[in-house]
Amino acid sequence: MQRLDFHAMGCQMLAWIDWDDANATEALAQVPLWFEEWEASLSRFRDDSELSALNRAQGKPMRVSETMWQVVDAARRAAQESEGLVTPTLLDALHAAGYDRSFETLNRSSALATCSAEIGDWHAIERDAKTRTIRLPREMRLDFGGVAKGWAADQAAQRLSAIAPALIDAGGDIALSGARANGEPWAIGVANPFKPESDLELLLVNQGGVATSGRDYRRWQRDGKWQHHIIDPRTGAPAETDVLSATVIAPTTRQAEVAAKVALILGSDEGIQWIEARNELAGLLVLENGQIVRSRRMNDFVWSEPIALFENSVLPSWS
Amino acid sequence: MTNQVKRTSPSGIGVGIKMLIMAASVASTVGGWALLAAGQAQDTLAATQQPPAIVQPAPSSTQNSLRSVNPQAALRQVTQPNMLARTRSSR
Repeated sequence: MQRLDFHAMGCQMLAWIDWDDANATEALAQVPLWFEEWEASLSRFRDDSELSALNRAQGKPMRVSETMWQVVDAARRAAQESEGLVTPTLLDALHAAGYDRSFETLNRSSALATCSAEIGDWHAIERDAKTRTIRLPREMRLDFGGVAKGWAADQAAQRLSAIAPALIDAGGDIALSGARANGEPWAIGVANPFKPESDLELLLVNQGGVATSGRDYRRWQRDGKWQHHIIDPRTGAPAETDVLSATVIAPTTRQAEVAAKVALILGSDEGIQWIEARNELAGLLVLENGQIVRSRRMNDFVWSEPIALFENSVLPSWS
Repeated sequence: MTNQVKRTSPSGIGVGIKMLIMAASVASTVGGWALLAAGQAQDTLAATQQPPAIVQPAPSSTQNSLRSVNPQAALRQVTQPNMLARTRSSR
């Protein structure tokens, strides 16, 4: 078993490969390079990225890389699956909410101008597969957010799996290529949003993706009010929700990331129903009042019960 | 003195009673059939008025994949899991 830690896409990354020979070592060393290549193409924070070029194209079609093509496709599928709740057309709304630079350099108490923005219609993204060109409406700009990170985690885990079973942890979004070399599942902790260094649950998963969407970390104050990075496209402003964090297991990390975000935006009642209605998903929501809500299928994956300190599945409330 | 079995010819009253009994029997049979037929009709009507049976969509490979690649028996066998990663909001 070999491990590699690195930083990419504004997040702390971790890669495991469950084999000990030189081939596995060599493959593991490639992972940061793959992420660097993807980030160079997909980042909205780099002026020289392919995404920034696409966002500056002013309505003209642009020939794109295979990476960009695939991620735009993944983002469109995310929008379709979530009925528009997870859309790549939120960049202006993120800027309006104050998230206009990387989170590391964000002035978290800055007072900014507007608080909501018009959301572009993702259906208006035009693609031509023959020429691999994409055209955005003149006023539209894209941000792939967690979809790109989930896609990248899935890609990396899949590539490593040619050598041995692998796990990619992309800033908390986790891709698993299959059961470990000894046939056992991977054990994944679910961080307690009230106390991030401790875990609420331990999940056992062989293959697929596990992702958490939350407003417990990437948040900042504006005019004395907390803002966060999960935009509700129905309002163009940070989602108003009773869910503090949502964790979802899905067949892919990209799907898990999208579903977690949908559950968070919809709030606990609708969110858990949305997850329950989809056979391929299992979910766990931590509410602002400390309550934990699990979908039925989540019980299939939980190894431990919530830690005894928090009886009756109620955590300290959040302020 | 020998006792003789006395055969009596059916009187008009006896014949009348017998016919009444037969008629009642026929009527009850016909009534039974009628009731049965009505019941069947009702069943048929109920059948046509029942909501359509819930048809589960054939599970797609995507829907199946989460459970098929994560068999419960294998997951439950783990006695001392060694946590290798932690899911959390983006860090």
